Amino acid sequence: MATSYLDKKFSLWDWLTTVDHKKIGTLYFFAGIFYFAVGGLEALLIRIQLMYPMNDFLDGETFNQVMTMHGTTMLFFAATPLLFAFMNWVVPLQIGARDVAFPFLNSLGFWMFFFGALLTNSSFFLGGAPQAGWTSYAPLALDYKGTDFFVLGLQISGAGTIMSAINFLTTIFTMRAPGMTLLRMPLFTWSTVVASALIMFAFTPLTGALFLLMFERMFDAKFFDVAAGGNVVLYEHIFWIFGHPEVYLLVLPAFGIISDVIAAISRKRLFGYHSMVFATVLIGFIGFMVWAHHMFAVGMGPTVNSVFGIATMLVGVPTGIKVFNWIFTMIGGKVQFNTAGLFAVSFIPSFVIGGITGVMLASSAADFQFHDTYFVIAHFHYVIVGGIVQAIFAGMFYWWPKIFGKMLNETLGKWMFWLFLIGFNLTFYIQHYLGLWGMPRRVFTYLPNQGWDTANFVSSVGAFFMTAAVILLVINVIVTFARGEKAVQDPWYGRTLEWSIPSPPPEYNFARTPIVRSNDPWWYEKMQGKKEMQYAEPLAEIHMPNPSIIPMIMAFGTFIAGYGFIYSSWFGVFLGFGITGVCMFIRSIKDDHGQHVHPEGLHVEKGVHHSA
Amino acid sequence: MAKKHGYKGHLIAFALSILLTVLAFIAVGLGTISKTFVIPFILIIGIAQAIFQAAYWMHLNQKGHDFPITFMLSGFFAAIIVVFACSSLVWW
Repeated sequence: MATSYLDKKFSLWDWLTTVDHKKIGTLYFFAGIFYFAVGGLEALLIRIQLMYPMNDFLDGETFNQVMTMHGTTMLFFAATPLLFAFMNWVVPLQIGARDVAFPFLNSLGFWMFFFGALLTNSSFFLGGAPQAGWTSYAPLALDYKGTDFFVLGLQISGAGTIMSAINFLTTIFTMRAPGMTLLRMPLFTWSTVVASALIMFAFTPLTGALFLLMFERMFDAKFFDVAAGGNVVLYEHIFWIFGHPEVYLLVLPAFGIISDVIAAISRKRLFGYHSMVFATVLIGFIGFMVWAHHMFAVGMGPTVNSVFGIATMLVGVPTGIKVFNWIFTMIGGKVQFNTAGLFAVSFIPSFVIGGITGVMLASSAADFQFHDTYFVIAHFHYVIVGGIVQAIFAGMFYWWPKIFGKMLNETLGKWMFWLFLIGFNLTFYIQHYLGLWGMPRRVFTYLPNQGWDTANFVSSVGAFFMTAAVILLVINVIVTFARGEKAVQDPWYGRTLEWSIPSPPPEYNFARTPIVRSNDPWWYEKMQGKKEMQYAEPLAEIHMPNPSIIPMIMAFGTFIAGYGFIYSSWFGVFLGFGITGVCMFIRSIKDDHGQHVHPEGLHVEKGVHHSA
Repeated sequence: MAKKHGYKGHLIAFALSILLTVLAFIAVGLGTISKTFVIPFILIIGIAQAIFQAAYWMHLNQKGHDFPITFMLSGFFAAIIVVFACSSLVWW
């Protein structure tokens, strides 16, 4: 039994300095789950406030803060890191690599995200959170101190996200095992490629938009001042040029997870693999040409609205290809309805409902009615909760044994699934009707007897079901860590490379780099009667990166500089960037050649290596 | 294309880029050609110049550069979208 990456040492210092992609994935995961809980708590507060008409549980300003932070936290600090957790855990294992291309950068990306999220959330204790909605539209957002926290927190975590994206692209393009051609890569890896490309090209406009806000707030710029020649919709356009690809870069990895899980639980090769890859790339491409559908009511005129409406409907084509391929994968397969399978299967109808309302919203004439009502809320929660969150849960149950070496409890998992499914539909299905009955979004209360009372109550009850489901998940994780059933190497009869190595994997993942001879390489070798992969090299010393505390300190410097900007303290800014600069200097001049580790089974005698 | 990246290709690219630069200077320097022609003209030869530079001097015409090219083009695509949004939708 090989020593796993978890056996080595278990100190706090080890986690702070780690550059191992599996440990960084774990850090991303627990940070993401923490913010998922925070965002969930905020959602619960929103639903408690809206449970009854004229409720005074939260006042208007607090409601706006909670609502803004719910959106911001869930998208930037929960969904993104949770998907990054899976990318970090799984992508190097799926392509047969020993680590990512830039382990140092990977660690830096995590810590930038971590401190950025901390900065934004600290606003609750420092004079009020941002309260202009997660979109933070320009003229409105300029009035609030909280906007500074929004801008700088996202700027820092956004820089970390771009770094991670570049890292994944480089890893996937340069570090694939021999034989792992691009069109043999598992779908999750493919969706990581497209999502990373989207991050690279979408987070840049976000950075620009945030700089506009920051300059307007801190240096009295006039970008949005009409009297001085500025324009108020400038921010909206740039934000949505980022914002639409953002939701696709979240949903594409979710598609990837679902594709891998459905192929595994169906014990069948994924139907239409090439069309799935093509659809993924196409969704990423079209995602850049549809941003103005968030702004139909701005008044861009019927021509622009129709062009963007039709472009938006086009997205339905590649998405439809994917939905049919998942269904065709299951047809004729031996579908295993374990927890991962349940989440993966229930993903399909939930996501399709979100997709259908999306096409409804894309028709700009109808959108004038739907705009800013609960219909929109229902639409994107079906996509995000029904799609992305269910995919994250599916991926969690699917890959947990590989990463932690223990099986999550299936009974608790199934309870959680049903509670979550009921709760989520109860909360959001009725909101379609609330929207059609005229209830506007982002209101902190409403008058009784407008026909909204019962529907709001039902919606809030659903939120409690979802809360119970998430609590069950937390219990499940604790129980599993305490006395979970030990996982075997390949518990799901998996198809991809990660199941060909021990659970949990050793630090270096692959003692010998495997040769990939087919799509679904591990399944192929099993069908050939092999007990392990074919190897591309003899057993030898493995070159691994050294752990380093520098990334954390470097990110901490930007954190201090962020507060310096918020409180207009040049001392803080210089101190923060000084810390970051010194770290960059040390990193540049200090040669770090990494270390050599001896894989299991390699014996060293007098400096000569023999394989056992 | 791939076979041409030798000495000769570089010389031709070098000569052409000098020619394009000279043409641009002449077009502006003469002062007799109308503005409506000169501005698009120097923009177009500027783009041609950039393509020469990328293909020959940044070696993008050689093998194994598919990904850099794909991502540069995607980057241009994203940048053009931002410019398009600002120029035709915001300040139309």
